[in-house]
Amino acid sequence: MPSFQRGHRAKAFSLLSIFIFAALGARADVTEGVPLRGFADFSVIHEAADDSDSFQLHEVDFFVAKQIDDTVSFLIELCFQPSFDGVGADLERTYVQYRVNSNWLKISGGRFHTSLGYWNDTFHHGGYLQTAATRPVMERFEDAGGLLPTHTTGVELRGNGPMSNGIFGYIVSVGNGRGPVKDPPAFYYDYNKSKSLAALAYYEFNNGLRTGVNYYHSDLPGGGSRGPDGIPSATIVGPAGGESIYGAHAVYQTAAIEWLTEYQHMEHTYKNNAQLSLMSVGSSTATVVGPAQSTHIDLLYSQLGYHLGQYTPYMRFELNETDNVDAYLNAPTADGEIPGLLGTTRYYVAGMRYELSPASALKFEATYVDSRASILEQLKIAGADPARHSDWSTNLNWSYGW
Amino acid sequence: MKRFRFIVFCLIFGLASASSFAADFVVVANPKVAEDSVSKSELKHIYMINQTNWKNGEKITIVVLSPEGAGADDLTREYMSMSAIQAKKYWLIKVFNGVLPSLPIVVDTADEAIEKVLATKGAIAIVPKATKVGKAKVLSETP
Repeated sequence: MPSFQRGHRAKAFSLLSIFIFAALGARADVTEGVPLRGFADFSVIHEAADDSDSFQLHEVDFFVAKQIDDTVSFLIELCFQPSFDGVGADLERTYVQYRVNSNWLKISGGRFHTSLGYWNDTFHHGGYLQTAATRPVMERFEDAGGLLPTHTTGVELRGNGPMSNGIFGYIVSVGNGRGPVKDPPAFYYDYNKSKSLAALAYYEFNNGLRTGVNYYHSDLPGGGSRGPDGIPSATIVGPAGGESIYGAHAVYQTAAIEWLTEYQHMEHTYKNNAQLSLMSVGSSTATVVGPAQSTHIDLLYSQLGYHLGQYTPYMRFELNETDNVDAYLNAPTADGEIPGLLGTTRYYVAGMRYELSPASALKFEATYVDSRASILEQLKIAGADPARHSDWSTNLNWSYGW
Repeated sequence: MKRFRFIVFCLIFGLASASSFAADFVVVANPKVAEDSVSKSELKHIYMINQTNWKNGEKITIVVLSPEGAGADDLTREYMSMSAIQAKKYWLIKVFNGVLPSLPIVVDTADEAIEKVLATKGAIAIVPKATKVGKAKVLSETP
């Protein structure tokens, strides 16, 4: 077993032990206790591309939430993520919240999910809570290949309450901007002088319809960025630039229907001296292939489900489209991974969910991917395949929560 | 004509069923809750966690029948427009989002619901009208 795998596992299990003992300890000391809640799921996956069948363990997510008194509460979420390398642990969310007003103003400080639309602020890491077996590609977290800055460390204001016949809500946050590379998010040090800003507003009508808009802006750190010790860091490879995200969502939920649609438009602009570097397959060095160019990325999904007692058939369409090879998102990462932001990709998902019990669900899902990667021509240096390709897979998933 | 009669019958029957729902259930609260009545819209806001405090600032604690319990599905469909299982997921999402500090108190029977309402400050529950409410405060439901 490679040493890094042993390291990962030892770290993961140590953290799990500390977390569980801390929760149990709290239970013994406080009259009401702190319930240790969480979610987990696993799948049987068939990949047509390599004709493989695998049992796949997914995230095991633990969280504790507690209202300390009438105004202060906290939430800590720790997630264990199996991958090819073993099991890694990540402190996904941890914040303390002060309720200035029970509904209209709550101030939080810590690490939270960025207010980008509906999914990221609703389902978090709870696979059981979402109808489908998988998240839309645009909603993937940074460490799962996602493009959006789904985590922010900083301060958040949020509130909601009755307005006219519905509910109005808002979230505004200020935090560390993007790090040198998109993963990990900058939870310990801000590589920009300016902070990221995220804002979301929504309105829930009385008939189950919710609509909302969101905005996000952050600077992108450049190759000359300095680390916490003031010394230019060799790991900072992203070019200097700016990132703006504009989004909208519409959600309609009744006892029978669940319809979720989100759109995010991401713009990256770069300064004159910013360069695009790509890493060749099988190589550990990056090659500068030209000046970085502005990029526009459109991300969309629409999912429709129909509840029939314990069964919920559902389908989802996704579209990911970029007009350029993005210098920041395609920056070589420390482990040599080549991110896959290429041209236009469509995903067609169909599935069935069955409620096994009030806390457990079985889901069967099939996904067809159609990628028209015209921009791949520009990535020949990275050893990418320029041909159009399609692929499909199936996923039998068993999720549960407690 | 037969089709027309059938539609009218369905409409009348549907309306009758809807109006009879409120007559079959009663809203109860802890005796120290200041409110004497609650509107259907307020009940919806309470169960959807959009209203988490009574008017005097006291925290609201919801007591609900377990999803498998008799009448649980009817209650959540009436006040939340979702099934009992969907409602449980909805509350779990609210806890997961940090909006709700803890899940509603789940009980198996209406009698247990009354016990919890009496024992919990700011508690509210909706129980079948036949339930012996004892010292629990009955809130009249206004339109």
